[in-house]
Amino acid sequence: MASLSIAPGDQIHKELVMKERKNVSRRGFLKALGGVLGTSAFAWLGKSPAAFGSEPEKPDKLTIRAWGGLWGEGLDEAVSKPFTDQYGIEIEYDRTLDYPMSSKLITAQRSGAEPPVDINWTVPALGLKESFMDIHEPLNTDLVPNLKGIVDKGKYDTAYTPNNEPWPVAPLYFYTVTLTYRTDMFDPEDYGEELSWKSLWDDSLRDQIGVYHEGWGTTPIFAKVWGEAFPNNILEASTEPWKKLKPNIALVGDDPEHVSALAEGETPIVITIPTNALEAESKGAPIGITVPAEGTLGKRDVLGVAKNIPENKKYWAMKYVNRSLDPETQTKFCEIIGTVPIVENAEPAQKYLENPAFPTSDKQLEQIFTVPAKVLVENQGSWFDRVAEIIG
Amino acid sequence: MLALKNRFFTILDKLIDCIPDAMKPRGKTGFIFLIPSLALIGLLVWGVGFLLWYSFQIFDPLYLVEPGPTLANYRRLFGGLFYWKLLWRTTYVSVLVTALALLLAYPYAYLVTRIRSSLARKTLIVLSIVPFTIGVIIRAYAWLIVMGKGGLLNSFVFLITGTRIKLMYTGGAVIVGLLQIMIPIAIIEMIPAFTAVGRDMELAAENCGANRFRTFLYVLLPLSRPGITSAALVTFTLTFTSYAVPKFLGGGQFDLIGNQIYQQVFRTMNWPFAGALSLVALLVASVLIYSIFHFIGHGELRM
Repeated sequence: MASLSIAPGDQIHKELVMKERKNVSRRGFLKALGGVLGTSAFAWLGKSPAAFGSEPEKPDKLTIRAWGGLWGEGLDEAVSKPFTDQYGIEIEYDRTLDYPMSSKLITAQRSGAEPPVDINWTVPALGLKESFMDIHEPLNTDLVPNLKGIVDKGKYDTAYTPNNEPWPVAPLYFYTVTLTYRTDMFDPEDYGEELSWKSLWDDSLRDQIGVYHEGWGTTPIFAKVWGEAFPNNILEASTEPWKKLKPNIALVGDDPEHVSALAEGETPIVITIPTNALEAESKGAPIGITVPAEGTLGKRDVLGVAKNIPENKKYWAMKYVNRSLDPETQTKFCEIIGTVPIVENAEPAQKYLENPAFPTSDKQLEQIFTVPAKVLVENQGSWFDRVAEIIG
Repeated sequence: MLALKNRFFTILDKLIDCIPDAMKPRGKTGFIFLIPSLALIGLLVWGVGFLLWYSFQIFDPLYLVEPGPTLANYRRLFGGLFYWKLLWRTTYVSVLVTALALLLAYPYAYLVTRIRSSLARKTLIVLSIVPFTIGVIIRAYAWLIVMGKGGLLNSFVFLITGTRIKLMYTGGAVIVGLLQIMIPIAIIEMIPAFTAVGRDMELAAENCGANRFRTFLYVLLPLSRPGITSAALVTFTLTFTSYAVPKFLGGGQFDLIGNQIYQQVFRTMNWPFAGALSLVALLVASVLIYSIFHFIGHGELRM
């Protein structure tokens, strides 16, 4: 299908605006233009082509960057398969890791090339950074109506988003950074009635703790627990805790290493996300998950629709995002991967209800804190460097 | 096969005939074959130039790169102890792994070329090649089975001492993991050198009254120097730039310079600093490679 892009200021653009002003009927206007303008006009106008009585041509497939393991299985099972069944569009996965994919997207955007993926499923800091760099198409409730169902805690503070966009990317679910442990090797009750993050500095835990590379997800927690000026001075507030924790650190790795360390019993305690705990448990390891008394960091992974993809793909990519935010889809997806749904009317899995690592009740949600988008995007790199300098 | 070869050269000759006489290199047709290599080297030089340009740009966390020039990246690199430590660690690990790999590969390569049984020789060669068929990451992870807390070595230690020791995620684990990868490479590099040193040279030395040690010191070692040099170069370079083994066996606590460059490129996305780091690493590696040529190199390989 021919695709034509229209930039503000173009002659066609001006004509379109004039015709809109003259209140020309949309259907008649569409007929007049015929198929020449294609779906780019719809996208530019910010209207759903469905609202005009037609949909853009379906692409054969959409490519999504996605994690593997339980994450990938969950997305495939709960979102992609039903989407393919409904629309006949195949979903292809690109398993490039989140950070390298971000570099690829930036390079593609800067060289004017088509991006390697149509949809990027990524961590919040990268998704937002990519939005600040104009890599993602802002979303709106016309094309992604399920955004309206996102709960207040899942919404972005527009003071911190690029161009104050309400939806630079779509938050997909909540998850927390938790203390995950082998129940046969560590008992939280040995460290008091309520476990504190500060217990991790105990000498008895020498060479017992696993953390993320460069302290991903952990630095803000340490700053909150030890510092006084959260979230303004996370770098300095977290430095001392990292130095104190160093002798107790046995492993610095990413999701696969965390799962393997827990499953093999190589590292009894790992500061990681619940999905890794579930994956280690599925390998037969006795696993406990807890949130220490001071609370923990809440995160929202995101879906971003890439710019510079054909307009019809953009439309169907947004349909995919909309599908992922459907309450029924969210219920199934979050149960599989061990996260908390982000939209109203989605049901959190019963088995997670009592666990503070899967916050659903008001009391549990009070324990969760987040870092504002811009603070995260602007500072995460320096947090990474500081932790690498301390541990590496 | 021969016919195909002849046909290839016939076509090549015809192509060369098409070049106007004035432009035809006299007796230097072979230089045409240098063009792909020169293009590749040109690409590498362009890449290094690009790194150099990047290293003087300003990092911006939101938009990645702002126009420079600035010396901030080099000030940061040389101003902090961490990057000195990292360069030092990378250098000593590379030198140590190279020395150990040569030491362990040398007798093996010698045995391969001197053993009389054809079957035994072929078996030894195959055994040294087999590790190449397994990916580096899989080989690194396999050490978990050997060095993990419940692994083979620790079970043995536990039987004797009643305690388990930390073997994984240490500098020792990284060195062992790198050695496992570098030894087969060193063997393959050294075999041709030993093949070139005929057994009769050793017999002649022995006939002249040299004992085995003197034969080794004055005949075998000098004549096998080209093999040692090339093995040293390859193992040193690969160790200096290694990423996967320090990542998986060092558990993030024994990073080498490659890990830090990866972090700067992909995680922090500080491309200007990654450029500075890469260039300094390239400079240090070049000095050390020059030293290998200078101190071990022989004949054409001597600098």
